Amino acid sequence: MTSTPPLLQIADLRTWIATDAGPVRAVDGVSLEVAAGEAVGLVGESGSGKSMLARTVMGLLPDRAGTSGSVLLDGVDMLAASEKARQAMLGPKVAMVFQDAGRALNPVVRIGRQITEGMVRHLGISRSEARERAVGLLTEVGVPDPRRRLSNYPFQLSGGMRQRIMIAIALACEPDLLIADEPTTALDVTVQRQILDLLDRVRTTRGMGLVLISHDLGLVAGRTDRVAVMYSGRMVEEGPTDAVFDTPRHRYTEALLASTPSLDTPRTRRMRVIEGSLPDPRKPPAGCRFAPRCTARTDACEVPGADHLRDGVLAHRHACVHPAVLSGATPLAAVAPADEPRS
Amino acid sequence: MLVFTAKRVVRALLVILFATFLVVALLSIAPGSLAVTLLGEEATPDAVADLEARLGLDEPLWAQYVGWLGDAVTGDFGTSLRTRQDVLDAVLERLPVTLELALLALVIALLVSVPMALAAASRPNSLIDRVSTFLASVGLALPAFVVAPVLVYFLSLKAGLFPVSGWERIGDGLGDNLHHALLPAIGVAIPEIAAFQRLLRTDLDSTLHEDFISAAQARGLSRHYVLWRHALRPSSFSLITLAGISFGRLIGGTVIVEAVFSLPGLGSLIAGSISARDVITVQGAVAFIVIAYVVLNTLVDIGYGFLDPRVRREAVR
Amino acid sequence: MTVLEPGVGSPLEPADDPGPALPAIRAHRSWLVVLSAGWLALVVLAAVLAPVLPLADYGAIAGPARGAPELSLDGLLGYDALGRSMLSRIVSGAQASLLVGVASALIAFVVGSFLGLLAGFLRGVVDTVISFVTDTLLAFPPLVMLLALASVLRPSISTLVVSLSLLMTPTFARLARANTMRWASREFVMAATNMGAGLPRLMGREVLPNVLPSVAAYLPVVIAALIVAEGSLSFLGLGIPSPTPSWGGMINDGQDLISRFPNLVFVPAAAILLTVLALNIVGDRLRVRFGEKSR
Repeated sequence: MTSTPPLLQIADLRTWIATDAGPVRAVDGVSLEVAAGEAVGLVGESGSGKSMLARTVMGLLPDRAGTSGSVLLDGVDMLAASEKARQAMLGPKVAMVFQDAGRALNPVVRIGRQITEGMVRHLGISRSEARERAVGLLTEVGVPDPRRRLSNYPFQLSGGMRQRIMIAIALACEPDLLIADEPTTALDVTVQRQILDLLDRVRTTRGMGLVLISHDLGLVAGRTDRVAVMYSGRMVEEGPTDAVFDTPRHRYTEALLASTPSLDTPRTRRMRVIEGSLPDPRKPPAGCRFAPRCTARTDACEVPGADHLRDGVLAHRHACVHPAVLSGATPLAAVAPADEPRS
Repeated sequence: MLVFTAKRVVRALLVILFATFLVVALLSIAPGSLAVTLLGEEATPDAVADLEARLGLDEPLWAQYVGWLGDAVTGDFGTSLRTRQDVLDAVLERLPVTLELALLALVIALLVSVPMALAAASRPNSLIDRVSTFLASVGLALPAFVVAPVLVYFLSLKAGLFPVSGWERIGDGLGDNLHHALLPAIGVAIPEIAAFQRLLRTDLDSTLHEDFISAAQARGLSRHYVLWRHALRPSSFSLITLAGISFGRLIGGTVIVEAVFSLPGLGSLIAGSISARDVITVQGAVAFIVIAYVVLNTLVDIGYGFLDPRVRREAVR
Repeated sequence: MTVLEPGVGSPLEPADDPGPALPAIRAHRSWLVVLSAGWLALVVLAAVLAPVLPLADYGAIAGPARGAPELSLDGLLGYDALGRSMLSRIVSGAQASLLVGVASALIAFVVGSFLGLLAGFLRGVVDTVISFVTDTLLAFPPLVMLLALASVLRPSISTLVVSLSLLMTPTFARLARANTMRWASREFVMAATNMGAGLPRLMGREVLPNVLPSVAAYLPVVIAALIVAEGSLSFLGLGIPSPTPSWGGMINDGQDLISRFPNLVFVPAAAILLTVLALNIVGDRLRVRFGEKSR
């Protein structure tokens, strides 16, 4: 990464939702940077705050939400910008692919309009020109017979096709950054790989930045440059994907890797289940939030501020008081994907 | 879709049969002899027997109904006891007035309630939401017989904007016609505005929590565009159903305003026939309205299936 | 709308901050509910105490014909076309409206709930028959059904109550049926069935106590609807028979004189508006509290 400012710069972001039982701290002091053209994985269990982080960047929070910190996108603070200025960023600067295209596509609006409406608003082109571009986009994302699809309703298409259309909508205004929130969770296993490959392809051909959100570490492993792990609203580990994958330092990442069945996981690791559940987001424990479930817990873990991010080698940071020992058993190159372009 | 349509049609036919049976049976549930009630206590036994025979009251109920139904399918809803006019003719003669009032009221109600609901739903719990929702509560408490005389007082008598009573047919000029129809239609519309606003407000609220609204907002579309284009459409299908059902209340409202403004519609036909003890006309007019109401709602149901792609898919399964 | 307004509340420090305050929705709505309940209490009290209130008889001439409001108990709201006390007539009208509205609503509630429970619990043929009759009755536009009944029934308070309860019974039957079906599928009812509990016992002990509150939550709104229906009929001269005053009838009487004496119409109109509005506001609150969402 060079000296040019990063495309996305999230600094000390907090997002909370007011409820009758007190505020839920969905994101609680997270900092993250994404450089232009870079692919970053954001991993965590459901409820870890990763989707809420994405929604905060996009400004898609419920009425009772509040935020602090800053989200700089191409120099514009998305939290402080006016509604108009923020809307002008959504599409041309950043776009989002949602988890379940079956629910994220309006069931009673034709595909064509859902693709073109953003272009008409942001690019100032006519509806017919936007339709021509939409045909090109659908071809690019591998939708057969694109011209006819424009007049279809979402329910007339398969789940995989719908997700391809979601991607086409996101690409419509040629964003610099694409946020994909669990883009394959709602799909069949065979289709999942196709969609991930498609995301890879459009990202490299367009030189787009990507934030790939998933609960599955294995899924982001081969497809991202860096990975960030979240737990209970906090960032617990962040670094080059291979490093985090091969030598996880935080006990949570370690446990998560051990509990994730994946082709890419070395066989030497035994499958494990993390005991217990996420802490109550209204009353998170002081200190490390993973401590109540952690096998390496000591009193030092419960000191407030114990979970600050510690710098490690090669920009590999973690928030663990008792980090896992660097094993060095597996050579980095053995697991690193060979076909992945570096930025 | 075909099965869905067929099921609706069969059900509608059964409901119509049973409802019209109730209408015919109405003449038998009157306490004491209906003929005596109609003719007065001092009527001669001959006259009573004669009227009973003419009304078919001497026959068993099922025979009365079969006879009525046989006539009705040929368009014979009986003859008025008072004017000797064919009941169907009388109904059809007055139908345009009532229909126009009901449709005009429906249009007014939609034109006012949709923006009200959108404004309210777009900013929940804001001042505009509270005002809009409170106004809807007030509207529900203003039935036609309360609001119509008050409208007459302020808009006709004080402001002189509308005539106090009377009717001009559309054929005699649309301007004149609307001048006479507008105020009664507003009177009918006010409680409907309230009902529509409440329904649409609730529906919009749940629609606005859908993923596809977030997705539309994520495309940088304006608040206004997302509301009208993405939120209103999926919310408006239940509004269409409600508009169908509300036809029943609209008819009720027109009965009242026809009395207030002395308009020659179906409502004043029924009300007038009741005071003249012309049960045959009441029977025919009521049967006609019920049939029209059931047919309309069945059409709305079926049309809804064609309109909403989601229902279309359900129906295909 | 789910668009974030930037800077809602104050930035939170971790752990012990109380968090942003919630919008004060409750506080705002509740004074309306209190006002409504107060008005209803006043109307009910006036109706119940009507015989002992120091008011002129509603039929007696108590002042000048069409007299304007004045500072005396009888003349507080003015006098009608014949010089009868408007206040006295409004109070008597409240008596009639409330009696008819509450009695018909209760009858419809009892009969409708019973039918709905039967249909929802027994299902099968019983359900089919009850649902079909319900649907058919709902195929009559409300006022049209009342007019049809009025055409053959002798006008009196009791026939009016019969007609109005017939009008609302299908509504309660539907509500009770939907709620019963929801409850009958819950585990504890299933468990009771498996333990061999008898049907009447099951309905009485398990389903009824759970279904009735959510159906009864609709009573105020139904009473409001029935007051409107009774008013419409009385306005047409087919409701509460004269000489008993009714609010709808008073509006009808005052109509001819409205250009010079508008309060002859405005006073009963305000009485209906406030009472129906109050019933709806209280009813909405009750439905949110006890009613299940069902349509």
